[in-house]
Amino acid sequence: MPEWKKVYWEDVVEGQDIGSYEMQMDAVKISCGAWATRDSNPIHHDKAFAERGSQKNIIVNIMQSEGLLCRLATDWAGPTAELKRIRFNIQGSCYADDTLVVAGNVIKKHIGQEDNYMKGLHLVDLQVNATASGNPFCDAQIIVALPSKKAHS
Amino acid sequence: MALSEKDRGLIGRESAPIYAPDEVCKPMIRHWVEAVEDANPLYTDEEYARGSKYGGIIAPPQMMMVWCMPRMWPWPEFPWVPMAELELPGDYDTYVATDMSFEFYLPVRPGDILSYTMKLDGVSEEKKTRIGKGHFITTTQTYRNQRGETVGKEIRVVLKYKAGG
Repeated sequence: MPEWKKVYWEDVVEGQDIGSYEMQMDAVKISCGAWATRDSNPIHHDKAFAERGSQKNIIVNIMQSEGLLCRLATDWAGPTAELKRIRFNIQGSCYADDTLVVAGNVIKKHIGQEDNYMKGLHLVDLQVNATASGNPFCDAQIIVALPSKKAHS
Repeated sequence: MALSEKDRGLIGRESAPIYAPDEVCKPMIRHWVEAVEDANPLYTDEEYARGSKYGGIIAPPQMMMVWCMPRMWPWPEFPWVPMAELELPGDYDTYVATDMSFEFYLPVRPGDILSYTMKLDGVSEEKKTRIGKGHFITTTQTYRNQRGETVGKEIRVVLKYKAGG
């Protein structure tokens, strides 16, 4: 069984790089994403339809984009990290044959103070950005809860 | 032009639950994981997941909306939703989502049956934006499991606007 990463809250440094990954997007990957998210809009699988709408090719859908951004958070911190909140923004499109690059860093670490579902948790705020062949595609502010060395888990 | 009395009256109203067509299941989790190449063992590795605090496989939290996507055939009947009733005083022809937030409260597991409600939180007066004049419409989608527990929320702002207007 592979060893999975386990990043503890105490070991995180504000501003630190959380790494990146690259994925070659093609028509298969994009239509697979549309199908896996039950999104039947032809802009995600029909190139001729996309061209009639002045797009150069089919584009990655929103739900796949969110998944691609969230993946970086748990790739970095490991499966003991819990996704708590995502704020997602779209700046552009990721087309078939674009190279997707997802990269991020730590903005802030804090203990949940607000009287909500994150109260008392060991939280890290991440900024995750995605580009498509160098052009802005989408980004997210992601809050994850990490295990603490002090807490019994 | 100001919002009509009817439109103002829709603010704060919520739809009845809209149910996922199927229960949460491992094959759909795997299809999603393949599309984003997410190796998180909580989603697909039975042995790891059994030894985790969840005691078994969980669905990726971001799949919350996926479970509730409508059937393609036969097209389902939807309950009344407040957004569909908005009349908005202008010839707005286009929607764009400008802001999306997700909050995850509880794990979603294979066998769960999710549903969601749509609530209209607010409609702005007409604003002039970079892409045209329109109204910002804020909605909250609340996702619940078969026990009535809230598993997460999606808060979305869309701009309904007249392109170039």
